[in-house]
Parts: sequence; C-alpha cells; structure tokens
Amino acid sequence: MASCPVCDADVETADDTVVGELMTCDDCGCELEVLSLEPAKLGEAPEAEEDWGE
Amino acid sequence: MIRVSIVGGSGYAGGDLLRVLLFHPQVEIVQVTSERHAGKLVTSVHPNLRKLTRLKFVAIDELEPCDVLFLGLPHGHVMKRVEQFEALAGTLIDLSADFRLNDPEHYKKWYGDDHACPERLTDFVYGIPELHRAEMVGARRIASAGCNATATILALHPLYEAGLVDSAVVEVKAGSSQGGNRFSEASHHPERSGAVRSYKPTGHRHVGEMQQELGADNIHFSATSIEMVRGILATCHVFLNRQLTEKDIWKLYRGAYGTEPFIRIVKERSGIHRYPEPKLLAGGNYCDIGFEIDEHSNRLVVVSALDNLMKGAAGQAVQAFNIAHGFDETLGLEFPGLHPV
Repeated sequence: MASCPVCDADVETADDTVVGELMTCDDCGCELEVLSLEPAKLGEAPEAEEDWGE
Repeated sequence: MIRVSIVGGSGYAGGDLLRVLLFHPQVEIVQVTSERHAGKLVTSVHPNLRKLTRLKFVAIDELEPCDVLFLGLPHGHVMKRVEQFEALAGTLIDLSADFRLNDPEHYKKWYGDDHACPERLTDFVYGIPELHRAEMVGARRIASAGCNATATILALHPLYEAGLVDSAVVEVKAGSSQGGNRFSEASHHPERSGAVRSYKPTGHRHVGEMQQELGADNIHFSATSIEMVRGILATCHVFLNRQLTEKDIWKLYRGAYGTEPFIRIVKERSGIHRYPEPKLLAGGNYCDIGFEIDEHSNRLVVVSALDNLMKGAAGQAVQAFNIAHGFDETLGLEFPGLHPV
C-alpha cells in the first residue's frame, strides 16, 4: 500500500509490482509511477502537456 | 409493495417521478393527478413513457387513499391543503418549497407571504439525505430540497461543518427546465434560445435553504440561465479562514462523501472531463463535486453539478422515500446517465 502524492488516497500495489511501473489513482485519476517498493513510494508520472487554449 | 400516488404529475419533476417509480421494484403507482389534463393518458404529456404505463391523470378531488403521496404542486399549494393530503396517505413527500424552511419568519422573508400553517413547518425533514439520513428513517413528512440549494449545500457543507469558511460566492448556471413546463414571454424560443441571462443576481429564494442548512449567512448567490435544458453547474468561490492544501481538501471531501452512493468527487488531472459537468448527469441522481485551490489567494473553488430534475427534485425525493421505508437508497435510481449525449 502506498499513498497518492496528489490526493493522499491509498493506492494498492500488487506482489509483482516493479519499480517504474505506471499506476492510476482511483480517486483523482492521476497517473503514477512506482518510485520504490520497500517502502512503496509513488510519484506523479510525467505526461505530455495538453493545450487548454491558454 | 408501497402504494404511491403523485399529485401534480404533469410537470417535469412529476414526469421524472413517474419515470423512476415505474421501474421501482417496491412501488405500485396508483394515481397521478393533473387538473389541466384530467382524463388524458399520462403519456400524452410524458411521451417518453409510452408503452410503459396506461395510467390516466385524475383530478385531486378524485384521489383515493394510498401509502405515500409525492406532491409536485407549485409552491404555495401544499400548505393550504396539507390536511386533505394527510387524510389520504400516511407519508407525504413534498417537492415544493412550502415546508423546506423551519422558521416562519424565514419563510416570509424569502417567499413574501405568511405561511399558511407555520406550526407544521418543523414536522418535515429537510430532504437532502446526505445531511439528514438519520432523521429520514421512518419519516412521514419530507420536504424535498430546492435544486440550486442542493447543488450549493452539497458543495459547501463539508467546509462549513469544519468551520473553514470566511465567505462564499456562488454562481449557478441553470437549465431552462428549472422554469417549469408553463411557457412565458421569457421562455419564448426566440428570446430564450442562446440566452445567457442573469435572472437572479441577488435574492434567490433558495438562499434561505442554504443559510438554514449551512448555518451561516455569509453565502452570496447568483443564478444565470444558459442554453441547457437539464442541469445545474454551481461554481462556489470560497474564501477560507486558514491555509489549506489540495490534500487537505481531498481528505475533507473524502471523509464527508466517500461512502455516499450518489456523490462523486470528480477532479482528474487529465482528459476532457476533469471537473463536474451537468451534461453527463442528465437523467441520473448523482451530484458530482470537484475543487481546486488557488494557494496564492487562498480561494477555494468548489464546483458541483447535478440534474435539477433528478438530484435536484424527483431523484432526491425517491432517495428519501427509499431511506424512509428502509429500502436500499439506490433502488430505482441506478441510471448512470448517457455518454455521449
């Protein structure tokens, strides 16, 4: 179990999760990257910026 | 089976009550009233229900005893006939504003007239289940909440309960079905189509409900009609009295609504549906709530969306009915909306 760095929700990691794997937070939908396993730590996965007309 | 009749069933909220209750596994619809359409098939007014029911409208004076009356009459009518309705059914669920406010002085302030039976105001449970679920269990009198009030109260309640609000400014974008099914010059197509109309910059009557349920008078509310049939989008600018992070807000809203069946926290980092949108909620009983904090100014923007005829009227009334009768509160309300629509 790890916590989402964006919304602090609990995010479950599986037994076969590996460092670098991408996951999605069920609560905020943020794409996350597994940074370490013991202890499990998640970071925001880099993503392409979208153009929202700014 | 619970024997239910709908009083004032020719309006839009009455139509959605019928649509929901026809599929409710614990309900038998006995009668539906309309003075204007008495004798006609309900499908003559609600064509989406063709082949689902052969019920005909009856006049109120033809009502027979039943278990529950859903009251969909215009504001001001139920309070004048409440004893007549009580003689017909053990349980009344009123969708009008007549019994929403507990204080007769508040009623007069917001509705302009003296209440016809002020001693009865506190007999009714205010109809937002997320705030009054415990009081609704076994309740015989429920006053369903106003649509704009529901969107605003649900958006702000966790913040007010935690004592975090310095003041709040709420702007609602509203669909045309809020105006009911009677036409007027204002609803004439060439006037209404494409309009972005500030129809109540101040003094909206639902503010009385917001103040009552949030226990505060520092709520400033405006409403704008836009090109939409169903739906409400409430944008609430909340000026906080202490510095909070987005994680703090997540924790607060998750704690308040994490187990609620009809409230979803919608705040996504990517994609095109990152915040609540009324269009996705049409026909369903959900209220979606999202937020974003401006950490420089400590302004929190809370956005809520719902279908004014469902979570803002008929759906919420059925949810309350389910709770009052000890049913699973999602019964009959499982429709998830359409996408795309």
